Amino acid sequence: MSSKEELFAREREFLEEMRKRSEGASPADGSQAEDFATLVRHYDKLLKQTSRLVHIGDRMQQELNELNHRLSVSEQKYRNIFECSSEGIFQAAPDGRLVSANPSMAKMLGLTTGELLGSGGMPLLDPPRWQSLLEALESGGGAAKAVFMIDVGGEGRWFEISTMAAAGWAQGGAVIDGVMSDVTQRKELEEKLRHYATVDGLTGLANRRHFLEIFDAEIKRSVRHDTPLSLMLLDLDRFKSINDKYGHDTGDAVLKAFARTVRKTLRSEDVVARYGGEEFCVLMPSVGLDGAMSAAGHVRKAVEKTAVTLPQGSLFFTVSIGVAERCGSSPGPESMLKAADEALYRAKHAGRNRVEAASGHVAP
Amino acid sequence: MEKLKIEATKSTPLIDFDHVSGVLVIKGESYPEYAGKFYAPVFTWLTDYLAGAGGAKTTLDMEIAYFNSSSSKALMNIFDMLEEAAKMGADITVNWRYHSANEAAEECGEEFGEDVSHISFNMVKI
Repeated sequence: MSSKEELFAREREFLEEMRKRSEGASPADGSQAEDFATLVRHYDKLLKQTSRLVHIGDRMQQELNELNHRLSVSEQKYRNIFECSSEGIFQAAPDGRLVSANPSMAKMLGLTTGELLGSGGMPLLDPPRWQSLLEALESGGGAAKAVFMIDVGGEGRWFEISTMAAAGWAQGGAVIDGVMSDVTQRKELEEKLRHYATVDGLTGLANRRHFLEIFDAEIKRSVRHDTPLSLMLLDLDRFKSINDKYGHDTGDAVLKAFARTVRKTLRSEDVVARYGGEEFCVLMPSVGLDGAMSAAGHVRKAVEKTAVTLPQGSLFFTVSIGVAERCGSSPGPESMLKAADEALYRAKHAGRNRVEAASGHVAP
Repeated sequence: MEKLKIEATKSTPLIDFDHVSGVLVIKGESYPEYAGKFYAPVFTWLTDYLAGAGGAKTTLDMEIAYFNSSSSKALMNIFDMLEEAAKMGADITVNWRYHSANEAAEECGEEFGEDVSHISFNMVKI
């Protein structure tokens, strides 16, 4: 109270003087004295209101200052996280342009924050991928996680980006908050593991497991599109005696040379796999029995001319091949493998280094 | 006479005055750019209402968390009008509602309450 009094001390003094004067006025002055007394009363009220207003204004201002202070403390806290985090932290406008980015983010992308945010901000992703992220945000209720490859100084690197729609997302105007980390190493490891799980270590061809997966999918596809599909089963002739005579290293060299020749002779869309030991498979999409027989003939001749070099000279080897074509509306891989195996058996018994067809077709 | 209803915005409070029930509600934050302009229809309505209220019971429920200086003056005018009517015999109650954590709102309510004697001015903690 006293501070309010002090602030308006001069006005109070003036008011007191006026009040005394109105009290001292002679009754003869009549209505003029009454008007004067009303004026003094109003002045008194105005003075009270004004001092309250000043006080209330100060109180609200104080509240505002406290709020501002609390805000700056919390802002500083997040600012430190933003500056020190090893993960990339960013904000992007709805059109994909970066609005803010922390130093880690710039480092990951091989740029400076100035380069990232300059001239209206760089788009983080190209429009189609940005659009897909926005759609993921929409369907994910305002949160989404995705892995993208981004070019960093000419090298493709993988980034996992977690995004969160900021307040006001539904109105379409809000920025998108995001955190991103470089997952290139993890991706490469995954790729390596996938490679080991699908590829035969010695020959680099598909392994049995992977082959059977592809085989299954190819059969379904060929049934669906009503296109032919052929299978070759290849078995190296007298491989056991090569191993026994020259050792396993030579046997491995033969398998590798054989795999190279087969791969080189066939189309890139043909799937070549090591089925086990010295047994190999080839799957030929969109190729009928005649085409597969002719391809098998080329393979047989090419293998005949392949040699591995040993100290005692060149070692030649041959292959026997059984060929089968998909027939019927939905045969499983087993029935095709069985048909090709039966043809292969006949090729072996007819003297090896031959191609036999499951239908009894004999190579020229 | 009709009810007065003005929906709340970011900077202006909800005004919901019902002459039938005698319950007047002001709720929200008040820092409009032109407080005089915003509160003008409120004063007009209140003048009409108080002229015809007679001895009926009137309750003003106020819950204003933040307000600027010109809004304070407008609120003082409202209290002034109610005080005048109460002095003439109207039964008027003001409930100043504030959140327990909002000390500023509490203190300002007390300030407003000091100016009135004929209306019953209640501080209501929520």
